[in-house]
Amino acid sequence: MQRTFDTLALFGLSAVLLVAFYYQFALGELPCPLCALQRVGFIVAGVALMLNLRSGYSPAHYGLVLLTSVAAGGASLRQIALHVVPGSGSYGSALLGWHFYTWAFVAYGALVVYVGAMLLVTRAPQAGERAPRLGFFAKLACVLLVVVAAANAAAFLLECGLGPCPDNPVRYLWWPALR
Amino acid sequence: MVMALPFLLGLLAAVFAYFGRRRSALVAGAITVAIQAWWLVYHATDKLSIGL
Repeated sequence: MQRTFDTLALFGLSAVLLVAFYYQFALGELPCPLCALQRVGFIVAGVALMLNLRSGYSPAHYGLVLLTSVAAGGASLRQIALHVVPGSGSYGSALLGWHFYTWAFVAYGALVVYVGAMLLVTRAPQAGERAPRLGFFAKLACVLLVVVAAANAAAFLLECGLGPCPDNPVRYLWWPALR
Repeated sequence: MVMALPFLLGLLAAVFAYFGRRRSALVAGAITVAIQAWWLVYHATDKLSIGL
């Protein structure tokens, strides 16, 4: 059961990053530095869940999810605070009435709840117990996360080069013609 | 500050995890989180225009 839920969660994390990619490349909304820190959190959480699938369950993997959720959730909370005063504007489009940094905060809260629930119900592995072979969907979820992580690394190299991103980016540093 | 650095490290961690290199993936993931936290402090310590 734990492997099924981890596989579904891994698909969910990749889906979040793909939606962000759609807004970035189809609608021309470039991510800001705080947006980047929120995206990194989804990648690291995905890495931890992939470790559960590939190498077998370990509380250390869920620990990594918690640490990155606190860091990335902090970035989203900071961005919410920047725009919480009426008239202070917002960054990017809204999806179903909420901006992406608000959705990110909700998602990281949900990840913390998910990890807590999985730590409660998951049986500790026996000594010498090996992880079962990956099924088709679990393998697909792992490959998808690696591809999305690679695409994000490439996109941020294009946008910011080997330096910091501007607070309000309007063009790609290494590919100005791309919008 | 290289904004792409945590993404490159995250990608490295993902590749390690995919190929079953557990310890390497955990180390790369932990370094990524450390950079994430460090840069969060960098980007989130200027004064907000709200009373807390």
